[in-house]
Amino acid sequence: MIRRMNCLMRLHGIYPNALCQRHAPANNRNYANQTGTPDDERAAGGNQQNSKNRTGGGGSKSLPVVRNPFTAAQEKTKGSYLTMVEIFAGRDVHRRNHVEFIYAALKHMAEFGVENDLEVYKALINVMPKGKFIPTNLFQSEFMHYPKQQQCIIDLLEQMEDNGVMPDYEMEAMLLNVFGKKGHPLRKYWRMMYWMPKFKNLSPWPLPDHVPDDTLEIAKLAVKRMCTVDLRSQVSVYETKNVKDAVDDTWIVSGMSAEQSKLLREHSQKKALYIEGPFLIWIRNRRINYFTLRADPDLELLASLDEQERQIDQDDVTNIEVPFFGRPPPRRHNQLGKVRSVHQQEDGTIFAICATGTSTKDSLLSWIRLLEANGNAALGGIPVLFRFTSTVPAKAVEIEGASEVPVPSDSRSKQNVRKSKIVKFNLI
Amino acid sequence: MRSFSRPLLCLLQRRYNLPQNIRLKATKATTTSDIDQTSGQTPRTTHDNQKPGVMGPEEQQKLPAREPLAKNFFVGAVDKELLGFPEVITREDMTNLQSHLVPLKNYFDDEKVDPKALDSLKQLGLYGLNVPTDYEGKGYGWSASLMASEPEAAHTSISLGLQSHRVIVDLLRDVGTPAQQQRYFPLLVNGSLIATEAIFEYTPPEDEYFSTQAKYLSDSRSWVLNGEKAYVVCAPPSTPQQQLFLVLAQTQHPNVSGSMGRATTIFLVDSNEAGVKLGEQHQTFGCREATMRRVHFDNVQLTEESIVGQAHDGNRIAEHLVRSARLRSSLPAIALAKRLLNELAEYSVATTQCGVNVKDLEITRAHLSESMCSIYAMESMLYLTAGMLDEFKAQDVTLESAITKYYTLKQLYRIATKSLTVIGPKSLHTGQPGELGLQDAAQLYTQNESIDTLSMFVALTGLQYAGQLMNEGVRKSRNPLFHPGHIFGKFFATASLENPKTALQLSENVHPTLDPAAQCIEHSVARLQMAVEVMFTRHGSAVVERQTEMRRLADAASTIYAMFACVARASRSYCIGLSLADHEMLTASAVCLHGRDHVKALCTEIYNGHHLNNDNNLLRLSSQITKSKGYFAVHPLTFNF
Repeated sequence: MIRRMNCLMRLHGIYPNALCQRHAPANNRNYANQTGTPDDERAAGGNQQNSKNRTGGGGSKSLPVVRNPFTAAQEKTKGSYLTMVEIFAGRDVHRRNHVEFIYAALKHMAEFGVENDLEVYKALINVMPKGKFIPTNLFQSEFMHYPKQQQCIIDLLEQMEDNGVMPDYEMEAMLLNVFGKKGHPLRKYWRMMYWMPKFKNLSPWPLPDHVPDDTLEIAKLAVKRMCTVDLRSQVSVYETKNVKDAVDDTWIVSGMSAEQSKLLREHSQKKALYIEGPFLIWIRNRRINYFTLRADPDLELLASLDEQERQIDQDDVTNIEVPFFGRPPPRRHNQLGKVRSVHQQEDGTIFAICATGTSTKDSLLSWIRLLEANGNAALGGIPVLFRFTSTVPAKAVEIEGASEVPVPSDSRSKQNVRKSKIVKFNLI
Repeated sequence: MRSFSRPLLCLLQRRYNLPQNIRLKATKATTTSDIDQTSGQTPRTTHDNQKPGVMGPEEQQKLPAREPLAKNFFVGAVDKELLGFPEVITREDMTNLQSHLVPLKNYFDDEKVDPKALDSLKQLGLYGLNVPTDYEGKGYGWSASLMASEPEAAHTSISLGLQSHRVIVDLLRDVGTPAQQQRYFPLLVNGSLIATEAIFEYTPPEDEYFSTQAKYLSDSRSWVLNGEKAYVVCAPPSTPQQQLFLVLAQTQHPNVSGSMGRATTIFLVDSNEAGVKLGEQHQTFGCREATMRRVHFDNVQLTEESIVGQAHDGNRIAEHLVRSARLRSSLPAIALAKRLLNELAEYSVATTQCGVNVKDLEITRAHLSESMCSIYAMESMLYLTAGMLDEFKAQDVTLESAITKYYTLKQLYRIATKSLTVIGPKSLHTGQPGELGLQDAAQLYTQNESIDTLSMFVALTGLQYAGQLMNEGVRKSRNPLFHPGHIFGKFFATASLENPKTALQLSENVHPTLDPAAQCIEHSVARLQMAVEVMFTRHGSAVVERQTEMRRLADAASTIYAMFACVARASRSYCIGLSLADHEMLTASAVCLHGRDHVKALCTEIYNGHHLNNDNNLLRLSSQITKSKGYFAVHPLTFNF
């Protein structure tokens, strides 16, 4: 506790100006010349405050502004990032202002796309001089020796943790060399090494090591993830160009299980189906819109199934059925061969889900036709309605009910309507 | 004194098929050991009164049915009288039978029997063993026809086809109409028509019983059959042979729609009918000399006469069908097990390793004896079950026949793998008897139904019976606050799984030497009953979902039946002094001692419940396995960081 307070006080209250001013005359460093613009400074993160203080506190326009090399970099790649770190490390033996440099480097990691790269973090730690910060007596180790430096590396480790980058044993060795075994970064490192491996693989829906950037691939991941409720689900990718009269040329990732096909077969032809959406699902930092094909719940059936369950006299053991010929052994809830499936929810029965490349009505229509062509012939006779919760981009030709609405000018959309009546519903 | 006389008395009564009332009177009246001395003469005197040479079930006067034996184990009751091993073939008939068997034995002892030579099988009369004498068959009962099919069982593949034929003859004899009997028996008896079951399908449908379906056409009063059956044991393709298929098809009740109206109907389909087509032959792992193939039915027109039993009544008839199929299919398995043991014994005697004869190794001796015990139990169960069928009218042996098959196949497979452990890689050389035996054992293990289904059948049949008798108590136990008296009674009961209290006095009906063995049976039955009760109390009607516990129940029940059959047989053998009867006694004692511990372990597991007996862990694991669609653990050397 004392250690922590001490650390905070030194960081924020007492020393900052002194520390910064100590670095102020560094106008011959390449990251501290006058080319730096105010914009650069604002982006410079960790050392921004310091440099402002410096310029303001000094009150002299001749004093240099610390230039941030990361904003000035032309090519934002890992290679150039590492090169800059290397240049800084090789500048001189004292490595002045390394804390500011590390804060600046941390701030700009995402721009260079290296925020998930352990090698880069190690390169930054390597900037720290070795041996200097190792406490040599009890008091030093107890009162956070070199607090600013220690806090800097703790922040670095924190950023690693936030980004899910797991340190390795080499990093432990580096931290040992810099701060000694009583250093606070080491404690942080050990805590990380206890928890992070335990959390790393806890997700029931693990994503591939490098999450693909392609929207189609991410859509596949999203649909697969949602389809895990039913182990028999099949995720298939369709191309709308295979559909006659489709306007949009895009892909459709559709998820449906044998169970859902069966429910669809048994669905009454008189009751409409709804395409609902768009709903959101996040795959790491990417958002995917998806739609469901669903019907209103068959309350009667659900009630009868519940009733059936309620009526079973659990205490009555006189009616045990014995099967012949390898039929599946009986279940008590299965006397009529009907079990409630996971897709039959209180608020509706879900038959399929999909994500399309364009999320347009046209692509959704193509989806229905593709489902119909791929083993769900029952869809041909059931009216399908749109029920959107937000405006769906009207990229495609508007889809209207043929009978109710006057024939639109585009003959294509009329053909789209097919046997079933498709009525546009825009609730919101 | 008393206990010594009873087994013999029992035997005597059975041998002469005394009616039950006489039998009971005699049991009460004669409690002295006189019978022991007179037993030598009594047979002859009584024998004269008996009409010799009648063996057909129609003519034979059967005793009224007794309470089902194995089903009663589930409620803790045992029919002591049945401990007298049934002797259903009279002395004279046995002599006739033995002389009939001589040519069969000679034929099948020859190593090079051609399994495709159906003509010689026909000449030997093997197709007519159980066809009634009215149709020029041999008219053997269950025990006799099983005995008569023992020589052929040396060739498992041949035996498969013949047993299938006999199962259908059994069915026609029991439930066939006179018209059907007149139509088919004259052909079936000499093998000009070979019958076979076509029940199982390659890919069973998801929601239906069978994908083979029959529709009734009311205008022409006929049926149309469509579908495909698999694993049908057919005649070899080389010779043209007319065949009769027993087909189970799904039908729809005319007045009930939907799944409630689903039913099965059993049809007899001649292979010469239009639309019947023999499909591809299955490449099987074992029994390669038997021809198993698919059979297609394409719009086969059938008349109402081809229905066995009544339309939509297949499930009731199926009980007859599976009873006889299970019983008869155990026979080839027993013969195979005997062959395997003989080979193992020969190997052990002939082989010396590092100067020690293999037969002297303790581990080999244990292997040999375990096999011996299992086979002894199988054989006793088979003939006890068949004997009950022969002795009593309409005796309920559904459970007994299922147990016989269950126990036999499980033990057969164990015995077949024993040669691997004893002999090692040499036993698996292509063409080695051990290898062929293992293949055939594996094939029989899967024949007709999976062992899991069979174990569920055994347990459910027992639970069904027990549920009807124990319902009142179960209801009270499940509602303790409404029935405090019942619960206090239970609370103060002193019998435990460790020390069950029994008063069955089974030892009165067996030779006194087997008294400990009879005690084992008594205790095991009591434990089984306690396990059943605790299952009912815990799960109520949901007991049908507790399949891991049901599997234990099936194992326990079959072990008890094995113990019962062994003790009955050994007691008889010893009392009448058969050769090596003392070792039979030893075998029976071994079976019972092992069985007692086995049953105790199983019942303790049931008693402990799924939290203590590891079931819970297994069930939890399985859901991850299905989620991962298989093995889920990553490689042991994987790095995480």
